[in-house]
Amino acid sequence: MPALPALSVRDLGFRFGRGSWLFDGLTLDVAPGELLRVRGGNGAGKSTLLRVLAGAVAPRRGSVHRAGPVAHLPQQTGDLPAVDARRLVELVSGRPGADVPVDTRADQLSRGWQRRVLLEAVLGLPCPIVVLDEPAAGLDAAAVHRLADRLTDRLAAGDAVVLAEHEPLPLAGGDVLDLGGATAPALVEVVLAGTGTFRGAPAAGGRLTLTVPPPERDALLLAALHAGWSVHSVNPLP
Amino acid sequence: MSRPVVPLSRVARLGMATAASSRSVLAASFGWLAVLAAVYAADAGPPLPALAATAALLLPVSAWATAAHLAATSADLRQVLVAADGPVRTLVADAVPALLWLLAATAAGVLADVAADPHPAPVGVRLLGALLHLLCGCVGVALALALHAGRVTRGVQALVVVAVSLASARSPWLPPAGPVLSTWGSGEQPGVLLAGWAMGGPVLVTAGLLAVTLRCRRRR
Repeated sequence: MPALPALSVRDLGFRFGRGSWLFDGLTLDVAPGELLRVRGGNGAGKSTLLRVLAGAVAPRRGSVHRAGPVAHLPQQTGDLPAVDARRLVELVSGRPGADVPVDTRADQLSRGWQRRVLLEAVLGLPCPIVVLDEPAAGLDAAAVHRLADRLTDRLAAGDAVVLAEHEPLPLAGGDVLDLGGATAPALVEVVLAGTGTFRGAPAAGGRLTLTVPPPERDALLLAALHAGWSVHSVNPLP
Repeated sequence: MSRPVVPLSRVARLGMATAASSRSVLAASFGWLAVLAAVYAADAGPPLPALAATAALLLPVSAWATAAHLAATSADLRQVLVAADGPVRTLVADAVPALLWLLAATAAGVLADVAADPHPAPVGVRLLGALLHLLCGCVGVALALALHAGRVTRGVQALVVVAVSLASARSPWLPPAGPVLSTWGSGEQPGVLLAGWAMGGPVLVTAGLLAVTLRCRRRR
């Protein structure tokens, strides 16, 4: 007999006021131990969808059924109260945060650290459903890997995990729900102004056009500036 | 009802820690003590009218203290608690520190009367005075919760609270301050109907404001 879904969504729709529908007619199930990755551009409705799934906001249409309480990390705002960070984690989750600064007020931490404190509190909640809105935002590489390990443990323990992510977390598998919207460009066109050759390509008419993947853009610009070129324009390509 | 993920005792301790660190809550507390000092600086008259007057004044001050506490509380944490334990428990968690403040303010109001009012009065009068403080204060707490849930700015919140307090104090039928002042504030024994409205009106208004608060929070 198949396990009942931890999260069951039927014909879900949401819009703010009388605005356009951020999403509509959405139907999905997330089984215990299953991972759902929610992707989409800025403004596509990822955070709103996660808030609806978590129960922080009522849907305008359709229904969400949850098999239990939800550990929800909302979108970053950084407004933790003036309480000791470790005490805050302990009061929310019932256990002391391992990865939290000692003897420091939560409101005096940087936004990145406030994010980590909130994440620590949320991950300590004993909930069968975990809904995290861009949990890797502001984390360094080591913290991202620790987060991935903890989520892998939660999945192995049978918890359902829903993630909104811009940069994919190093987690195996998972279904992807793409809400569309403005997505990251596949390539970036960099137009340099100058004469001669750069990276083996000759300039023509005082212009040199190069096409690179987005992660290589900054390194290319830096090298070009060091080599005496000027930057004419940088354009994302679909 | 399922067991809460974050027990109310822990949320209340978090709320108390947040309130204790808030200068605005401290300012509201000093504001209340200043009100009591002003009322009892001279002979405030018989205890029941004096207590009815301070109860009516507690409406805006309790709204001030609640608004200050809500502003010091994290919206992020509130979302975490709503997802874990639902909107009703989160509303209770938000209200607990405000209600504890209200209890302390009520005790201060009655103790000020006991200490500074030269007119003798039976214990029952002081207990009735305490009840009036709680009724008026609860409306203030609920009003602040509703305005916060409606995302009303702090300046507009202040204007609304002052306007509601003045309107209620001026209208004998508009709870909570009007019926309280027009009954026990006059120093005469009120009729059953008026006394019932003075007690039941604030309860109805508080329940209505809490329903509005829950509805607004669910639509955010």
